[in-house]
Amino acid sequence: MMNPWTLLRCRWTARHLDRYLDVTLSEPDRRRLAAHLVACLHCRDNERNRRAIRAGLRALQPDVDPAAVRRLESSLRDLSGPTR
Amino acid sequence: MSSLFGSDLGPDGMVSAPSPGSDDMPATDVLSPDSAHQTEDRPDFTAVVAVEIAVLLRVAYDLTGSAVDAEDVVQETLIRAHQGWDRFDGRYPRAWLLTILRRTFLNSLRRTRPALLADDWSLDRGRPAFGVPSSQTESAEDIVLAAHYAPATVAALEGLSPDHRAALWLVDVEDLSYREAAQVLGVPEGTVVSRLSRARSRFRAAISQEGF
Repeated sequence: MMNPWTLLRCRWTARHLDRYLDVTLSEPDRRRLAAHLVACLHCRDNERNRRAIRAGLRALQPDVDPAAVRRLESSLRDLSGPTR
Repeated sequence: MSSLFGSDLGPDGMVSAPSPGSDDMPATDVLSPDSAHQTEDRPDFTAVVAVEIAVLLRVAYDLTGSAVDAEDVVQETLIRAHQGWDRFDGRYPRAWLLTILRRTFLNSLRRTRPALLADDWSLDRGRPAFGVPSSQTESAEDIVLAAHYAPATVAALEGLSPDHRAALWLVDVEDLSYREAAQVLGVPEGTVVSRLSRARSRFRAAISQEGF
């Protein structure tokens, strides 16, 4: 059975997991969370699930039109070209 | 009509384009390789901006909802960035460019609200679809992509409020940092963080209801 201390840790982890995955947690918090993930199967499942959701969202990001990129790169070169 | 941009449009809506370099120091001088201003810790304008063009195009599409308009906005953004380069402190170049992009969007298009924050946002309209003319909504690409999306993901995105969806979209789909998303939306970084947190919770709740 999960003891109250572990339960508290799990709740804390759930609240901070997104920041952990964003790599925006403070280093002490990051270490604390990573240590808990090693020890807790439930939170590792949660982590895996959130990573999967993120991957699904990231997959919605399409490629840009290479022709548009080339046109803009060309504009950029024109802007930066020697003018004197 | 209340929208995120509606409430924040005021100051930025009035912002004019960054003025060109002052007369005594033309921007072109700063960009010249042999310029005294081109110090070692100040990278080349072209190199800094070139790697951000794809991101600028995607975000411009998020804002305009049109591939043609997006390219125009980025084109103008490049010009303004070039003009303002000598005043850029060199930190967070993507966030700097996105700030200019947002102002360019607000100034040039005078949209009442970005496509990304529209109440009738849908994935077809809200996602970038470069290479597809804006009037052509049923391209082969659209069909392939629509079949690829998990319907639950689409429903969950469409079910979010515009503010929450915009934060989620810019960070989790477009892969912007909190700071960069804040520049695009014209809100403090902390606002992005709190909206993102709520958006992710609601998105997860929605897709788990759908059996994702």
